[in-house]
Amino acid sequence: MKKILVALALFICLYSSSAHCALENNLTGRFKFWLLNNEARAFSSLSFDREIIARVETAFSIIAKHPDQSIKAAETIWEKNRSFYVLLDEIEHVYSVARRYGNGRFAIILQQARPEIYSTVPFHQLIPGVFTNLQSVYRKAFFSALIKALSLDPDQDVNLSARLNKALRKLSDQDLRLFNSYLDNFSALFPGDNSARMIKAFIQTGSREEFGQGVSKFLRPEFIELESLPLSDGKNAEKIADPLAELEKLASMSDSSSELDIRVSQPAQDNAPATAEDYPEPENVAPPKETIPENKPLEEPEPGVEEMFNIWD
Amino acid sequence: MINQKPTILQNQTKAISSLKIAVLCLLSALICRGAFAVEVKFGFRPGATYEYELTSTSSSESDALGIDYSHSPTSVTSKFQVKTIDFEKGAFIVDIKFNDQTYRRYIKENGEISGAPGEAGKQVPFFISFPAFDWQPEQRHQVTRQISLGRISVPAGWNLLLKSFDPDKQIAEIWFAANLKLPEDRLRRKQFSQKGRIFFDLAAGVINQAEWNTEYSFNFINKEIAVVREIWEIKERTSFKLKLLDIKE
Repeated sequence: MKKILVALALFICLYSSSAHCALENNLTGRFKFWLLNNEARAFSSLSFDREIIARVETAFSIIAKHPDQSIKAAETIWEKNRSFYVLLDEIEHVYSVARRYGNGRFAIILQQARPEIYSTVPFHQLIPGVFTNLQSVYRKAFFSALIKALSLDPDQDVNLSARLNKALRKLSDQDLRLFNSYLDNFSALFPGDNSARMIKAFIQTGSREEFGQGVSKFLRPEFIELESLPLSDGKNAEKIADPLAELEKLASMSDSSSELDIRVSQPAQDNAPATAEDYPEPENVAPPKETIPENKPLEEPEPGVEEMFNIWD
Repeated sequence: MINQKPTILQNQTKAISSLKIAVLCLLSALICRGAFAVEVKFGFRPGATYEYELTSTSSSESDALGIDYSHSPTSVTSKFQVKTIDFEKGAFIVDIKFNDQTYRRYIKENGEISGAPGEAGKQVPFFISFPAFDWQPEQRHQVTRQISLGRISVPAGWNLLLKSFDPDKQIAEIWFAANLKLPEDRLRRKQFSQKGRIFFDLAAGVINQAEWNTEYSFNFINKEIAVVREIWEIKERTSFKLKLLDIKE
């Protein structure tokens, strides 16, 4: 019995701590729950009152039914609040994507590690001739699957500031004023809670054009342009100014070579195939040609990159 | 001195006569008042159909942190029929036909409901009931009840006043108001009022015309330590007009 109680207590502790952590990492959660909670209280009161009022409103026993009523003004408030929930969801999504990928670090790691090329190595050995023609398609599919697995939408997440601005444009000026009033009231009621202030700051920062550039570099890598060029064609492959092209070319060169494993599996260590010309990297992304020692952390993005919440700290 | 005595006597005689007049006036007023006392009670004729028109006009406005939203008044007019089937055990058995739906009710003479088989399982509303005695003009009548919903019980009451009576037309004007105390707490403030008047046709034993207004307001407040903020304010108004259109035998 004692063991069960201890296990139960442990489970509750773990559950509450995980829920607490989830809320801690959530930008809009506290504000949203506050608004939802207020709504729930108001709904319950209004529902009760209407039920009671309906018992006296018809007044005479010869009236059997209350005539249908039109939409009440209260519904307008709930409708506005629903649009705020949609906006908050958008803010939360943009925030979480920007927080994870906005600094460009993930894109750098991905460009350095080249998992899509390593994963083709066994295929090169098994079906060398056929796979050389398929690797472009495979690479694209690999990235599509990766983006999908990361719950990202390439069309919408490629420009986070545009996505946020689009969500903000759905609200009228009056709605935005109400939304800001809600945020101000939340801050006044709970001075120790910064979430409302953070939401306001994030809206201001996130709606700028330069926001989330790292995500756009990650979601729209330049190699996709390769689709129009057959990689099996040596001339075209040489013209490709894609950082992946060289590695891919090397991978396809030796179909059954055992050296391939060594060459391809150690690009991060020696980066031998790459040259400075082959890596026209974006400004805010560290060039992959540079060697990164194992014990040295990755470079921080350049000052132009938006770093709102000091993610690197 | 001799001349003063008749003057005193004259004065006393005058005073007595004026007192007599006053007493007579009072008695006549009381008699007249007794004559205007009425018994307001329903008198549906079995087999007759009473056609009514009910118009409700509702408007509402809300305020969210100083931003106002309002809805212009909208009216809904509907007709319904009260078909009297019988009078049994002190209650009229009627079928109320409203929007292709029929509700059977047993209505007592004073307007109370003694049964509503068509609404089994539902809470029958708290209706106005008239006093079962001769009602004097300007006399008040109160009916109270507890209305319960779930585990919460709310005190409710009807205050009635016979405002006037027209003996020629046999029409009594009755004013009424509802007392309803909605539950409040420090975060929720509410107000409800309902007032109106009835023109009751004593000869036909039915409501000829009635109109009443309801007003409801709800304030939702947030309070954290010393900070108090009014978040939402909702106001709703509905006015009703009931009119007897026709009596078909």
